[in-house]
Amino acid sequence: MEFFDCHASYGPTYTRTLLELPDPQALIAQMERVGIGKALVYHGAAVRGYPLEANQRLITELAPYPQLVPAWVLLPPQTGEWDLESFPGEMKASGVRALWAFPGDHRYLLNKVTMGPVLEELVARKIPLFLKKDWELIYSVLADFPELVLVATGHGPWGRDRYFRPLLEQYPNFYIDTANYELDWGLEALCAKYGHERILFGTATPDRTMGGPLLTLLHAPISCEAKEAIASGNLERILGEVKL
Amino acid sequence: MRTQLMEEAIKDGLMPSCPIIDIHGHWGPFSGIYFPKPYGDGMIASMERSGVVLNVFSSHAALFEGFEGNLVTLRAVREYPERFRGYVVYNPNEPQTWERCRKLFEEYEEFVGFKIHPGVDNYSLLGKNYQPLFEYAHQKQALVLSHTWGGDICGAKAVRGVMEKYPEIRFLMGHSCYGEWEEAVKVAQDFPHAYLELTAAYAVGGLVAYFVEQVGAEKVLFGTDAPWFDPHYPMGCVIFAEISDEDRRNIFYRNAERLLGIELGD
Repeated sequence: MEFFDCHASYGPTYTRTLLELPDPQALIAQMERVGIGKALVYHGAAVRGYPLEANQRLITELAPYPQLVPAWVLLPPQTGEWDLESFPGEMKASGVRALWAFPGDHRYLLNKVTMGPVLEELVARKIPLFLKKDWELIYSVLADFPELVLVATGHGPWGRDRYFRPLLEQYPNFYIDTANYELDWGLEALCAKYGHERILFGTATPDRTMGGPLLTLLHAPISCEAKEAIASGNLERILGEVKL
Repeated sequence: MRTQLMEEAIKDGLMPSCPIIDIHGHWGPFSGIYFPKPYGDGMIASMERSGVVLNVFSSHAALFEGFEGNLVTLRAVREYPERFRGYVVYNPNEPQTWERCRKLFEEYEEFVGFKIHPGVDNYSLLGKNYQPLFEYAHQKQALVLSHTWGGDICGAKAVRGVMEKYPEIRFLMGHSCYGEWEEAVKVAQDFPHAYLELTAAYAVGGLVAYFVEQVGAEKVLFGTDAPWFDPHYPMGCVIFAEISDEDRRNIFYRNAERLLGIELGD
């Protein structure tokens, strides 16, 4: 089975960590150890360092490694740091087809007032936006942009079905990743009710380990077709539908 | 390089040459989370597809509904005696139940130790109402699984305080004092009968290898919080950690065998 990790990073974490992945080679070593062939990757320095510089470093540093697919971290347009006109072209030129937002770290509000034009562009171009767990934020963003391709990640080991199932029912382009989805029989129950099309394999490496989500999916009591879609097919499809 | 246990786990989802004992389980539904299958049949089906041969648990009823919930545990173990053993849950906010807890432990072989949850009970590990339990466990060299988590109530400092006074307790630091990794390691290093238990902690990048490097695999035990977590998730965290298969065998069952006084064999 081909695994395409939707949720990985390398570079500085700026916090105490037990698993240092300072460069792409270190990330690839982890992937090879576990058996993950491909990963969608953002730069750790884009979170706590300066996003725009880290976004550019990412492109340079990933160039020799086609198995690492770059994802950028966005900023609001009002300060001139994120150019509303040019970013789709820059993404296309750099091979970037996915974005992350860290509004808490970067001190802005991810809402219609601040990010309306950016999110409208994401909707029009089907560019997926990855967000870490903040259910009230995710609910409000989707209420304003119901067609947005939004991936909720890192949603906690408790099994947040009561939070995300309503979103799966309401919004056709809402996805979850499996990095923290440890719930026993969770994947089976989820696939039985909602199908497998909106679940993406993710690991949250280096904060978390790759082995847990991988073995869970590999031996989940769901069909081979569902496993393959979650492991890589769904993410390939999402990225393939991006219009730049 | 793939080891034998890695190959077995990847191929079949279980390891014929390495049974697993889950030393940190639960039973039944809980208000804070949706469980698809929180009872025996579902839990056993999970155990079978992942090679968990024995689950040592405390029922949610015992944790959240008082002493009588221990009888839920007893009935469950009796229903599936080959697959489960129980912890007697003692709530320090109900100190009058201590003697009944002790009798339950002494009179029913279904129980192999005690479970305490200072977080749920909002009661410090160092509080006086835990003293009868700790005194007893110290004298009997009994197994005590405590929820431990970074902070004052049940963090590493509190565990250290307990172990300094009662070093003969077989003390399992459930969740390994989550977040206070270095301090938990020091406790496990300083006290021969203090153990790191992996539930939830296993997922932290690099942590399993760090624990093994610091305290040795003989002081680390495997747990899943079942029916919370799919056993394959923690299993994958241990299987792909940068440790040896011998370390994995210690974590998956040998340490638990020793503490429970049972022998499964390879």
